[in-house]
Amino acid sequence: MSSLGQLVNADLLGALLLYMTPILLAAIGCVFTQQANILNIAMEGMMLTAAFFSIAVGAATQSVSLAILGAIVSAMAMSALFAYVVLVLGADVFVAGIGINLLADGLTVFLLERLYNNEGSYTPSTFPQIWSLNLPPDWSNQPGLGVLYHMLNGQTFIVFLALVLVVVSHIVLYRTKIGLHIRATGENPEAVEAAGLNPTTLKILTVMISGACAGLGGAQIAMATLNEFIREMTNGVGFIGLSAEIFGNATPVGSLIASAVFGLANAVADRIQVIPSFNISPDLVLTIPYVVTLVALAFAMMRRRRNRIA
Amino acid sequence: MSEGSVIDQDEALQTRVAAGLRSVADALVQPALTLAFALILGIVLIVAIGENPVAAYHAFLFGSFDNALDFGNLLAKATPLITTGMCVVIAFRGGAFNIGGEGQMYLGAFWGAVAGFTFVSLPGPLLILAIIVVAAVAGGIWAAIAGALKAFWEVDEVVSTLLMNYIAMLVTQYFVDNQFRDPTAGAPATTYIASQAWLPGILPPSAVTVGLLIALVIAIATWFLMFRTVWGANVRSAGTNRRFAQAMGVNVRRTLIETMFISGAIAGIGGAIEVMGVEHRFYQGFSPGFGFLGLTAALLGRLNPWGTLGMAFLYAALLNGAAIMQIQTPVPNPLVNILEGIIVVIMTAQARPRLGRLIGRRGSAA
Repeated sequence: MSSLGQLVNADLLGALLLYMTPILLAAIGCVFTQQANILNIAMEGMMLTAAFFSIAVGAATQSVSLAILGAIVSAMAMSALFAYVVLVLGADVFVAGIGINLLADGLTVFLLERLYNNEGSYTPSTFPQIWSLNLPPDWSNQPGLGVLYHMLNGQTFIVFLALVLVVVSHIVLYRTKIGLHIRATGENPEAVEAAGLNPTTLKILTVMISGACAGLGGAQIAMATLNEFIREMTNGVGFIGLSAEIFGNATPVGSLIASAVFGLANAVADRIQVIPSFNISPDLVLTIPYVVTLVALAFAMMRRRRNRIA
Repeated sequence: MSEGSVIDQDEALQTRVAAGLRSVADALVQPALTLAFALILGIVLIVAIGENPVAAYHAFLFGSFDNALDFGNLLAKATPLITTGMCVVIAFRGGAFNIGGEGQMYLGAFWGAVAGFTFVSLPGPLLILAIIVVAAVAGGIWAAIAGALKAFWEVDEVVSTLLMNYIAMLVTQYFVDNQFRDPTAGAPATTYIASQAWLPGILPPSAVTVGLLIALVIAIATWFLMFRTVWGANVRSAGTNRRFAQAMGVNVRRTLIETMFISGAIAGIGGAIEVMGVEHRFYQGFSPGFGFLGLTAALLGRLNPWGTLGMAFLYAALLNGAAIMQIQTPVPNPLVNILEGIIVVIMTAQARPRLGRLIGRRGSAA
C-alpha cells in the first residue's frame, strides 16, 4: 500500500503533464490533418527535426526564444516539404511520410556528426533555461498548495500553451468559418470547391499547422528537462500522438483525454523505476505506453465499428 | 503450316519482346530519376559543407568494387535488405502496409538465437533449419497479430506495426538484460549459438556468408509464391481491390492474416540469418534499421521481387560506399541516410499513377 502511495501522488501528476505535452501537441497537429483527411505519418520526423534544431539554435544563440523559433521553423520546413510532395506533386501520403521520418533521422545524425563530431548525442555545455513556472518553495509543504506545487512547479510554458491550444483548436475547428472549411475538406472536397475555395490550399494549411505543433512538441522533448539532443530521441512520440488523435476521434478534446492516458502510462513507467519496492524491469515498464496505445486503438476501432453497425 | 504464319509468329514475338523491353525501361526510368536526383542533392550537400564531392563520390560509388573484401562486404550488407525487402513486397502487394519488419526481424533473430544455443545436440543442417523455422514462426506471429487487428477491427496496420516495433525491441532488450544475458558479453547479448550453425563465409575475409544464398532462395520463393500460385494471385487481388476479391470468393480476412504471417516470417528469417552469419548470437544493436532500408529497396524496386532484389544490391553498394567514404574522406557516413530519406520522400511523386495502383486503396492524401 505504501509503495502505491509512493507512486500515486502529485509528483505522478507532474510527470503526467511532462510526458503528455509532446503527445498532446502531436495529437492536435494530427487532428487538423486528419480533419482534412491526411494520415500524418510524418509527425514523428517533424518533431525529431524540431528537437534537434531547438538544441542547436539554443546552444548557438543562448536564446530561448530563438531556440523555440528554430524548432518551429525547422519542423514547418519539414511539413512544407511533406505538403509539397504529397499535395502538389501527388506523392503517396504514406510513403512520403515514412520518407520524411527517414530524412529527419538522416539529417539530424548527419548534422550531429558534422557539427559536434558525435553521432549519438549532443549536450551543449551551456544552454539557456526554458521559461518555466517557478512557484514559491514554501508551497510544497502546505495542504492543497502542495499538490499544485508538485504538479506544476518547473513545468515549461509549452505545457500550459498545449492546454490552451486544445481550447483554441476546438474553437477554430467548430466555431469559425475556416474550421468549417477544413472539416468539409476531409468530408466533402467537392462542396468546398463549389464554395469557391481550393481544397488543396486548405490541406496544405493543415499540414503547416501540424508542423507548428510538431515544432513546439519537439522543443518540449529536448528542452523540458535535459537540454540535449539524442539520436532518435522522439522515440515514437509522433506515432503515439497520431494514435491518440485516432483514439480521440480526431477532436481536440478527445485527443486531450487520450494523450492524458498515454502520458499517465509514460509517467507510471518512469516513476516506477525510482521506487525500489516495485521490482519491475524498466524495459518492460517502458513497453506500457506502446501496449496501451495499441490496445486503446483496437478498442477505439471496435467501438467505431459497433456504432456503425448499430 | 504456311510460311506466312511463321513470319506472323516471328513478328508477334518481336513485338512482344519489344513491348517487354519497353515496359522494363518504363519501370526503370522512375527509380533511376529518383536516384539521380538524390545523388545530385548529395553533391550539393557535400559542396555545402565545404568538402570535395569528386573524392567523396569516388569512394561512395566505386569504393565497394575496389577489391574482393569490399565487394564481399557489399554482398553481406545486401543480405538483410533482400529479406526485409521481400517482407515488404509480399505485405504491400496484399494491401497490408507492414512497417513492422524491424520488430519482426528482432523477434526472429532473438528466438532463432535461443533455438541455436538450446538445441546444441542437433547436427549443423538440422540446427540451421530449426533456427530458421523458429525465427519464421516468431516473426510471423508478431506480424499476424497486426494482420488480425486489421482484419477484424480495421486497426490501421501502419500504426500498429510501428508501435509493435518498439514493443518487440523493448522485449528483446528485457530478455538480454535479464534471463538470457551472457554475463561475459560486454554489450547486451545472448550466449553464442552452437558453432555447427555458424554460416560459413563464401568470400573470406569479407563478411558475406551462405546467408546470402538463403536470402536469394527467399527472393525466388517470393516471386514464385506471389506470381505462380493461386494463393499469390488471391493476395494480389485482395491487395488491389478488396471488395472485388471478396466477390470472387477470396476470404479476404484470412488472406490478410496469412499475408502478414508470411511477410513477418521472412523478416524473422532475415534476423536469424544475421545471427547465424554475423554475430553468432543475438546482440541487441544488430540492426541499423534494416527494416526501413528494406522498405526503401522494395519501393524503389516497385514491389517487384526482381526489382527489389536489384535495388537491395544497389542500396547495399550505397551503404557500403558511404562507410568507405567516411574512412577515406571527411564527409560523414550519415549522408547516405539523408539520401535515403530524400529518395523515399520523392519516389512516388512522379510515379503516382503506377505506384498508386500498386498500392491500391491508399491513394494520394486519401
